[in-house]
Amino acid sequence: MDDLLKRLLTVDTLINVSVFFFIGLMVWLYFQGDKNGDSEKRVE
Amino acid sequence: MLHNSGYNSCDKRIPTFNSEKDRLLMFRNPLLLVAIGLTFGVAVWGIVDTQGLAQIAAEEVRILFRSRGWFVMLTATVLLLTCAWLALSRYGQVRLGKDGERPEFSTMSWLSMMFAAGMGVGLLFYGAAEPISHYLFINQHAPEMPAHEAAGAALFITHFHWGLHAWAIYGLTGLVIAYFSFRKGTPQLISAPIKKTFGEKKWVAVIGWLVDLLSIYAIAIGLAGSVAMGVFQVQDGLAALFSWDSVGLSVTLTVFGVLVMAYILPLTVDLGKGMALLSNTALLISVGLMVYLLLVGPTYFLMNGIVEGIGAYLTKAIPQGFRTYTFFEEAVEGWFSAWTLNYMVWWLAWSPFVGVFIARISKGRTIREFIAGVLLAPTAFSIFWFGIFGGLGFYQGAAGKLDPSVIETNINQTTFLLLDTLPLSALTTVATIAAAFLFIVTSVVSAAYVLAMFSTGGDQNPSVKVKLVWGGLLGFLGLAMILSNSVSAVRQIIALSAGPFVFIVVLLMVCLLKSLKQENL
Repeated sequence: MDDLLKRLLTVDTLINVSVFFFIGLMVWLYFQGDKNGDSEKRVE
Repeated sequence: MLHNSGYNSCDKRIPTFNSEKDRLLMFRNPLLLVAIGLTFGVAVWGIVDTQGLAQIAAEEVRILFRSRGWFVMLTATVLLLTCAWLALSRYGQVRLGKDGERPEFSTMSWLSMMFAAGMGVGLLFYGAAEPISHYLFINQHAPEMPAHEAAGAALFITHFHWGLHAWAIYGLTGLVIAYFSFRKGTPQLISAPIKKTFGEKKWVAVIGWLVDLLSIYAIAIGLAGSVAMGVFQVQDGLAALFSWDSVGLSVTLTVFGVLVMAYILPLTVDLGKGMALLSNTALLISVGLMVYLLLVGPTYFLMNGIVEGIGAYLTKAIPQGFRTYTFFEEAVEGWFSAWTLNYMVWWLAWSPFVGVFIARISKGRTIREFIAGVLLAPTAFSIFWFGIFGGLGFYQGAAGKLDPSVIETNINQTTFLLLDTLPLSALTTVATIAAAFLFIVTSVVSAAYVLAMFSTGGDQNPSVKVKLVWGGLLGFLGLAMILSNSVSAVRQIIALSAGPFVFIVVLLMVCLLKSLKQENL
């Protein structure tokens, strides 16, 4: 368990997890609002 | 260099300072105060404890490059592929302005201004030094590789660093600013596309504020790094001209003092076309130098090298964008971080500054024209530039006229030692010093203008006071980097400041793509 935590909590891993989160967020932001078809109204 | 053209409308949410009374209130602007405090703090730190700052920057950059070097490379490549897709898709016909609007500048002057933006003290500095440096590294770590292959590989890597990937970073940032300001009427701030796309929400306001602050910080540090490199270049040019054995701190500080005096004056008065004249003079001197080297050097050899370089670039540039050298020995990984990753984040540090400049001169162009001009013309120019300077460096090195080990002893002298192997070396040395000096002056004046504009909510005519504050801060930061007396320390401090910008550019790209989906095509 200690070994697992140690591996997961390294600086490298944490930075990479934040990058994965960022990539996911960007994909979500790109598609967000598409379904409703009202993105034009909100933006303008 | 920068023109006061473009939109006049400003986002109501962003404070602008138009009347005299408002101008007095500008120092109550939190963004301006925090940005000034942050850059001033780094400058003081750099001056008081130069080695400490350089060491911390080196350690932080090592961690960042090690953990997310892949993301930097992937981002640069994705930006390039996105640019290519936008140019070739139906979105290529979208105009950066109202439908039917015509370009503000003729294609020739637009392209020449683009060269001026892309040309800088960096090309003068690294023209011969970078290809020779890569050649020496390959010789050391892959001694079995034949000399001709090593020279070709060294030129290709240099072309890669200064080519399409670099200009895709600039181009996409410029495209987003131009699209939103000329088509959607937003201020020319890095945060404006984010606010326009995601609306008035609290998190958007916070992110927007942070993005503007980080842009200001990245520009200030990036420009100060250029000031330091320019001073190194000029002082070693003087040493070559007057045959000094070494350059003391007094010469360095004198060069720096003259430089500061030279850029303070243009900040206090509106020189209008005068700045464009200075910038064009520097460009003409540099192009003249390049043509002189091509004609005086072994022309056939240099042209052969350039044509080979074009072929290698066309076939290998895209795959190279995915290379991270992960299965190589530690020395190669170190070289990759010190050069390729460092360059990519350097372009990211400069992207808000160059992006705004490119955007301002591109009103009325279509996205297709914009991308073709911004990506292809400067890349072609860089291939010629490094083909000539680097090719000549290899030629003179092989002939025993240029000692390549100068790269390890004093990289700043490489260009001047190369010029010394040719006729009229005193004249070409003076020309190089003059061009480097003019490039720094015009860059600092333009940067002080952009920093003043960014920190006052997009004010198109920021007051002299604010411009002078930024001019002074750029000088302070430049001095901190000069005192480090190390090009690699300068590069690492720049890399550290540009770290967050890799995320900001991706966010800007999402804003553009999201907004383009709503275009009625």
